[in-house]
Amino acid sequence: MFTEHVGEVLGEVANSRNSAHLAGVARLVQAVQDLSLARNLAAVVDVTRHAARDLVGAEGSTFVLRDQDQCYYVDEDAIEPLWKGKRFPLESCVSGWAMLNREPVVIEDVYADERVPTAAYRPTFVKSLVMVPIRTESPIGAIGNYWAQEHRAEAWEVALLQSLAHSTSVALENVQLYADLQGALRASESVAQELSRQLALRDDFISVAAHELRTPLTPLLIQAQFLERLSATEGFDPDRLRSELRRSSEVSRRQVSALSHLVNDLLDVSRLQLGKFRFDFAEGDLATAVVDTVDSVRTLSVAPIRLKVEGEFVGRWDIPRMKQMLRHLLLNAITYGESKPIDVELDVVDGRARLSVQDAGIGVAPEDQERIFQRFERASSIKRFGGMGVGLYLARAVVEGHGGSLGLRSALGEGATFVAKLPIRPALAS
Amino acid sequence: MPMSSVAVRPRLCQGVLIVEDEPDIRESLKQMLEFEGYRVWVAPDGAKGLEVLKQKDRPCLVLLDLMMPVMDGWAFAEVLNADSNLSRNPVVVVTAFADTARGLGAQRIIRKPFEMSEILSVVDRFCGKEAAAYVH
Repeated sequence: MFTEHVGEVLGEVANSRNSAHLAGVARLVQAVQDLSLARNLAAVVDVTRHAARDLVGAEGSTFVLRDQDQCYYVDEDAIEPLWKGKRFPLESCVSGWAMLNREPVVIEDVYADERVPTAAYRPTFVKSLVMVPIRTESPIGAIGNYWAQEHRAEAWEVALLQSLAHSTSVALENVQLYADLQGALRASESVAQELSRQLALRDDFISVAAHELRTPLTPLLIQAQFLERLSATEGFDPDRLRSELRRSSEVSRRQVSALSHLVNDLLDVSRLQLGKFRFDFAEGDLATAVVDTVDSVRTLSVAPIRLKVEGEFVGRWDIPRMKQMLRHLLLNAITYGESKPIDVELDVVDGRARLSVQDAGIGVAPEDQERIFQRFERASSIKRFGGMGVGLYLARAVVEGHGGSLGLRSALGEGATFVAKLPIRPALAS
Repeated sequence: MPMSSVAVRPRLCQGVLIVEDEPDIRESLKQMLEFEGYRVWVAPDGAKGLEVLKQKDRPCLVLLDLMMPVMDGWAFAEVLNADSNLSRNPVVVVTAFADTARGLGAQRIIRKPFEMSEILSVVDRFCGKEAAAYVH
């Protein structure tokens, strides 16, 4: 095969004193250098098409890429237009022959060679040509050189052109590697950015969670110290002592319960992340759960909580999860409700339970209304409002786990209404 | 200047105002201070706290939480500092966010959770027997 002799022929060319040979070698060296700097396909094509023509002083050159079973004439450098932008079947053009046979083609008279589709050559100036494949192992393209007068390309001309094709092949591989590398770099940069955003969110969450966990400790500590002082006091009125002890135990029990809710919420957030947030459906009455939950948070609210229940709600529920969901909606209303009355309503609409919690507080801006259902998200400053930023995230997970939906109607300064719509007997539970 | 001199404090001040949104902290502090013999006012936010301070019969010390709805502790302190009458009331900030409490003109900053003895000693200093010694 000719390509195996390229090195040998080039060696002879370089040692010759023929000025055309030496100019060709010098131009090849220049082209190799330019190709090493090319960072994209356009640059490789540009260097190659000019160098191909200059190497041997041809009247035209083409840069062809294989596109499945077609030869695509990408670009050219010629005295008159050739086939730039055109496609020909691999089987019926010279570049296709060079690629399929993985060797150079030298044609002295294009009209006397059966490999040449003469119709395509008739409108052009071409009489003679040389075509070399780019990459001899499974070629990806070809470089053509053309002459207007009959010209039998010599071995040194073919060798120079083939050598250029080898360099072009390496340059194309480099371009691909470079593009891959750039892509990988961009991908890793965006992964790093997302990671650092997540880490920042998590750091904020940890400090907020620590604060939330510490909050119940303050009244617990006061009560412990109060009990110590109480026990050190002599001659206390028994009725007053009983009343003080009852207040202490109530506060302590409430705060231990708050701590336990916080810890459960933290665990649930982790379960949700791991896909281990489970439901345990059983026959139960949602109305009773709603009444109990509202009663359990009344002491936490300065404002009255008004409750209205209409309808029958015995069905299949995960009652502890429903209580958890409503508790979060209520805590949210207490936190952001500006001490104005809160309305809880449970009724039946279109055969589904509709549970709504309405406050008359600061409200939520439209752009924040979806975001606040996400993990660790909040619409207001942590300075004014506590909370870990997981309540609505958990509430929505519970509602969706029951086959329902949890939505929000609100405007800034006009309060907020959270509405859960729930199938009374979820299909997934039966 | 808020309370640079104890001598300007009203004579009949025997009480503490607790401005705290968390009901159990508020009520536990009230329980403790009442047990110690102090008169106690409570307010769930800064706005309600200001109403108490505008009364004729008013406390001589404010225990102020910072993170609160409606009017937070920072806003409360700002109103207080801008009003020469109200700014004579000493304020002790009781907060988990102690780092952000500087520059509020507070007499003391106590970090939550706190030792009750710390609260009692500061209340005693401004409202108790210790303070009474300065009142003519």
